Amino acid sequence: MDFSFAQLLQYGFMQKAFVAGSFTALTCSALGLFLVLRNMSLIGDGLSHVSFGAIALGLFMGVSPSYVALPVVIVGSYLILKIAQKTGVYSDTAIGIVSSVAIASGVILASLSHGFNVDLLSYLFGSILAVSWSEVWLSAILSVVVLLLLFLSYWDLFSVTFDEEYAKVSGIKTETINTLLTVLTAVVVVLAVKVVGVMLVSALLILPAVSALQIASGFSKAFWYAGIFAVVSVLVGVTVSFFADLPAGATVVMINASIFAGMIGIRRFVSPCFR
Amino acid sequence: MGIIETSNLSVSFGNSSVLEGVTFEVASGDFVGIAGPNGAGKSTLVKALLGLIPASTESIRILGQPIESFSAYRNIGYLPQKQSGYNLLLPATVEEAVLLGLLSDKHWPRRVNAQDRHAAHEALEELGIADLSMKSVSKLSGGQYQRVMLARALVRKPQLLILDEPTTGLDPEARESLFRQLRHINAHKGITILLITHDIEYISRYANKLLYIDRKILYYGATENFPHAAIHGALPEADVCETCRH
Repeated sequence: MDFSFAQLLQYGFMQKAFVAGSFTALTCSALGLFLVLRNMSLIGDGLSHVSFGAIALGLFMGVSPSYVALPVVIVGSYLILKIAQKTGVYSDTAIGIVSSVAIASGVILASLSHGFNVDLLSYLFGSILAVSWSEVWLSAILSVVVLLLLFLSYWDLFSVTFDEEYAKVSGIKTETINTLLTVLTAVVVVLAVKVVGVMLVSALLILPAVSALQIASGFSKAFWYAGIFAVVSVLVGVTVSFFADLPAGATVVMINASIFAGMIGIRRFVSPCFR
Repeated sequence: MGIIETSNLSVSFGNSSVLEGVTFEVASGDFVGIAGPNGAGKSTLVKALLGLIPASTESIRILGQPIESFSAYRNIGYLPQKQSGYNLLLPATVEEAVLLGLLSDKHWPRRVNAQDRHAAHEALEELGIADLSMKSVSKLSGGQYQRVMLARALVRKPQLLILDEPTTGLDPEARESLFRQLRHINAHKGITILLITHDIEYISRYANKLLYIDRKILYYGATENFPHAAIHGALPEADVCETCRH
């Protein structure tokens, strides 16, 4: 194929994919760092399943799935927190309960509608090359809001991540911070579903973060590394998928996995230079 | 006014009583060692004093404020029990960890500035570990880690320093050195210290008071008067209760 990268950028669908994908990836990487370090990685997976039910609900009602998914996934994240707090079950159990109910609801809605199964499948595996400009704007605005909140709450989040008990004694409202983290995850999951699909959202949250943690020598540096890895994986993944005629979401995830493997190698063999 | 005043403090988890009727007072400038057998409620007592767990009590006053409305977090330095499962993935540097000690001075959105970094450097320098500033916390030895956590507790220049088993896992040399450092902080900076430890021998040498508990107070008074038979619960409670108040 005789295409240059510059020519590729002339395609509107590629421009939209790069912009929406980069914003989403950057946000996922920043949030993912806190989720990974607080052993909350699975919440991304659970909420992506909730988004499946929410998307089915949107399609069933004939409303844009993204607009339905956002409030429903936020409610789902709140339910996970509350079930864990009120019943005393571990949070992974609460995630399992909420996500399975959401998937079951989605499957029932799909079977009742007899018409949108194909649309639903596109959300399962992502369709970044088919995003509209309104979706690009939505992802840009939500990403900026999430990143701003993370920036403003950076030291609170860092403190809770380092030592929750000490954070409490420092006067930090740890429950508020935990709720903020969960709600922001819900927002980011809805954004990421469009890029990589329901099945692969957690990869976008986890992989850039764990790659950065292999080589970062400070918490703030880990953010920069994770952000760079995430954006590079989207740009390279979408480009490779175009030339190799591969599914974009899955290719982005594989690029992320390759970066992770590379960072493990660097940590093992070149580690002293970085840490 | 005592730095800490508790009256009839009790803590239960479900039907199991962990602390019963604990009443004592810590005066400004005291160095109090808290000792007792495993499961005696030492950490529970400290957590109740800090408002981390609910307690039924007539009153707890810290630095003159009732615990229910306590807000002077900046005046308390706290060194929690060493995290047994410290997250080795967390890439925090020593400087970043010490800066966490200054967050209680700030309101959301909390930011750190050059002055804070200078304060962190000073705290590390005072403990003789300024060279570790940019080192990853996960790469520290047990003794270095505890010193960094002590720097984090001291960086806010507290009136009261609470330490929960800071010498766990340290070799005798590091243990001795940490106790010496605490004695110096207490004597020269006038910081009141409340320290949980199993090392009664060290408490006898470095602290001026001992609070010995086993769900309730068995002894509270000068370290030199502590009857060592009490370690095995042979001390009648009535003999020592008069020492609970100044």
